[in-house]
Amino acid sequence: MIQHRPPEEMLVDYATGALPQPVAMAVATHAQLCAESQQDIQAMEAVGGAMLVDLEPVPVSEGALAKVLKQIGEAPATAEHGAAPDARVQADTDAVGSLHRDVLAVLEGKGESIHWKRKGPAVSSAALPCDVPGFDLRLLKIKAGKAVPQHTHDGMEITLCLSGGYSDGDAHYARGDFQVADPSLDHRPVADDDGDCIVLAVVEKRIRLTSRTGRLINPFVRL
Amino acid sequence: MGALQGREVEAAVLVRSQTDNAPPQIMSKEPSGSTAQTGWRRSVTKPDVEALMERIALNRDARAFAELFELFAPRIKAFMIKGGADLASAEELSQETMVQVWRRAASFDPAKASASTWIFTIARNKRIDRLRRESRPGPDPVLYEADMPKPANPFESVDNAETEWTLRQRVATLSTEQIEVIEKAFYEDKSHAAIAEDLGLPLGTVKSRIRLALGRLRSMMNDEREMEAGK
Repeated sequence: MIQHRPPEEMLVDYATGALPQPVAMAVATHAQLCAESQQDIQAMEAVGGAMLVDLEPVPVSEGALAKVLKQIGEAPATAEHGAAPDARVQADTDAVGSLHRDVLAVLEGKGESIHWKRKGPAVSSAALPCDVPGFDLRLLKIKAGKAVPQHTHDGMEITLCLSGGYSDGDAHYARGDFQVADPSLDHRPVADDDGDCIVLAVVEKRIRLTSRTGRLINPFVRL
Repeated sequence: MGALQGREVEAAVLVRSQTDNAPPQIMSKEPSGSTAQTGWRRSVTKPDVEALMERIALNRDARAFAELFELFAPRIKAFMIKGGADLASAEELSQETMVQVWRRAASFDPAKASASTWIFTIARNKRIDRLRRESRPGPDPVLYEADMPKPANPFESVDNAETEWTLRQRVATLSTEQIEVIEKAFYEDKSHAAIAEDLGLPLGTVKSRIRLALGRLRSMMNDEREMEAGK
């Protein structure tokens, strides 16, 4: 049972397409694990669908349909084939997207196969592609029973638990739980004793390490 | 399908029987009164759109696609323009979206979403894609359509298209202020923060307006579901 979900406005911004890519990725991954959030997103998308239908249409150019039909390789005259969905359905993946293979590996319990980089005695890290300036997106693996050095952020930090669990202050986070830490929070996630914890971390701007060891080893992110 | 041909769509309004659960009927209605003032200028009738999608998905029926195109391409174009695209890009994005609709038709799941909701998500992703291409090059696609596990989904027990139809009527019952923020969010893909800036309102006000509006819509959808479940 997922205890910690993204704030509602984040789900709305996700549904309307307004979230920056790394944050959207965290929300998408969370929704894979959380039926409730998935439902909320679908409900908000239904609002989008209803609103699309109600837009005042703007006429498309005259040859638009012909162009599109040509592109999909079908003409109305040949419509009666009744062919089953063909390979193009699978081939066309430009806007589809899928979870990053490293994220999938973690979800499938194959986190060991990822190329981890040691960032200190307790933490390993694997960067994920992130093309939005000012954001950092990565997987972090925290050793069982160990803590991520205490730190604060100049910007928002999202931590999505993918495997294992961790505690931060009074709260416990398990697989699928979504933690948003604002800049004011000085936090110190500690992995559960019974196994390594792998999280997806989205960090906005720069992190300041506040503990002495943290300053020395700079293990969390390097921005 | 005759009712879907071209301009005839204009005044077709689906009226749901209030007294029993008889199938929806298509009735002609002048776009006046509450219909006009809330911006419901044309209505795409629900059963037809779902039927078109089915014919496209199962039979690769290009005629059905042409009809769907006529209904949605101009609306997707309008959607792109609302989102800030110029006419040429909006046209292009509209066409690209429709190509995608054809190619991905097999993945349309009527249990998950209505056809227009599904088309909305494709149009939205196209828009995101283009913005990303323009402003920040990068190889990885956004993850909006990741395959999700099948949850215990309340929508599955109801007719999604029906719910959506009701939703469209209900959006009209929101206050002008609520409609304003919802439109900015969905048409212009503005984040809460951007909407606040646009309207010169505190972020908290925008949050609560959107929350109230969606909350109202959702509770109406829940009522709808209960009605469905009770029949």
